[in-house]
Amino acid sequence: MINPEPPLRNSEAFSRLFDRTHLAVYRYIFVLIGGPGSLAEDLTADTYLRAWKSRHRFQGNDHAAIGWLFTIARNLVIDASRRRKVRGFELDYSDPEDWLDRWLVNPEGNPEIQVLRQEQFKILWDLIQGLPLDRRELIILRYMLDWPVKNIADHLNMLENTVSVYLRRTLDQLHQAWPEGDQYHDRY
Amino acid sequence: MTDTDTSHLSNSTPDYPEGLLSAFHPRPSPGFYKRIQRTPWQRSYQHHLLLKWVISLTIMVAVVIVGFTISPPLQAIARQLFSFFIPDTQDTLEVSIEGITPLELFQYASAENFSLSIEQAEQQAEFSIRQPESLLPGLELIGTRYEPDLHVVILLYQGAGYNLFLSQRSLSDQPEYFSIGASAQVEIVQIGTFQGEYVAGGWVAVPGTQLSDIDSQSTIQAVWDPTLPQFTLRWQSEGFAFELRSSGTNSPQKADLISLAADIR
Repeated sequence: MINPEPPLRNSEAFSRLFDRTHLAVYRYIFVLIGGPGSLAEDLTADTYLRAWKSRHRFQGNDHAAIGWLFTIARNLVIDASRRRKVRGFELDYSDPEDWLDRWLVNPEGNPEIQVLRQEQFKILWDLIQGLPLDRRELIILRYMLDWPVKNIADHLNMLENTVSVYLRRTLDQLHQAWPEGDQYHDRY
Repeated sequence: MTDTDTSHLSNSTPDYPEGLLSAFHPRPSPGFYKRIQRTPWQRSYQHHLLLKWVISLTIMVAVVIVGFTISPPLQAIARQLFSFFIPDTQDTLEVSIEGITPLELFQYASAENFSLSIEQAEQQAEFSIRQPESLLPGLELIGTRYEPDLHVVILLYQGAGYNLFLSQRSLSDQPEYFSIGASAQVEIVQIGTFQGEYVAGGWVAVPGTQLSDIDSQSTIQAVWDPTLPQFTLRWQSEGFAFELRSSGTNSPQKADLISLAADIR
């Protein structure tokens, strides 16, 4: 994953960095701001524009570059949240096949499973949007972007053990907040 | 299956909420990517890519031109591209003849078919005809013909037991290709200060293989014969394409043809 080549040397290197990282940055912003997609797109584009303008000041490898992008993105999300007072975003659940096909990998063909996932995802989305931004970020990095705990700790300048504890507590919080009688809760 | 039967769902659902989060992959819209195309780094990158293509193409063209200029084998290829001998894919050929019989075709080299004087041919072709300043012993000019379809002037000479054709046309006209068999050997030769191509052999009609004779159009089967006493020299000079072709048992060959070509003014 770590690329020894200086990632921001020129426009070609920056374009390659964009190609490799923009989906992760977009997903990070999308969940952190709580949508909608158009706002996440604006903030993603702004993230790279800022990075492009200050690329000459950046020193580090590919992994450091994506951490740097996430830092820029987080600052933009905080600014946007303050400006627009956006707290949460209602996904359009009217056409579950649409967003399941687009956003959930390996969507099941069974309509009952799709409906179940739609309901469960709506619950999860609301719960995540109710978390503080720093806990939301931990969840995104660990479970959406699949970062190892060590990388998260390095990126957030925290101890690995602290990251693990926070993650466990946040998951416990989500599990406990999950509504009684839901399919997931029956299994847990 | 009843409303309360959900065992099939439990087996298909991931571990929540971690599993559901890892399966959540929102993607930007196509409009986002169009917008990114207009960003400074993308414009700069596209310009950079275009520049690389232009430089690469320029280098390739330069290499090809230099290759054509200094390498005899590549010069041969270039000439083939530009109107010299075109090797066929095989050593047999079907020739369609319209309006004349095969017999008339083989009697082509007669004075009746070359009835124009040099001056008359020049008037029709609208260019000055070049000729050798001196001829081989026993060789004499029989006549001239102009073929308007190909804009080519052909001079017929005859010697002891052979015919010699000198063809010339402007390079600004349509190229005239001379097809040769796949096994024919093209030899690069030096004619004074310019190069030419020399081929021995020719197409021979296979006896008894007239394939059709419908509405005055005949088709004959021909085969490339490298031992045929026919010798062809082609070259280009001063905006004109020239061909010297000798045919017959006592035909002048490479050295004589080159000597004649070098003497043409």
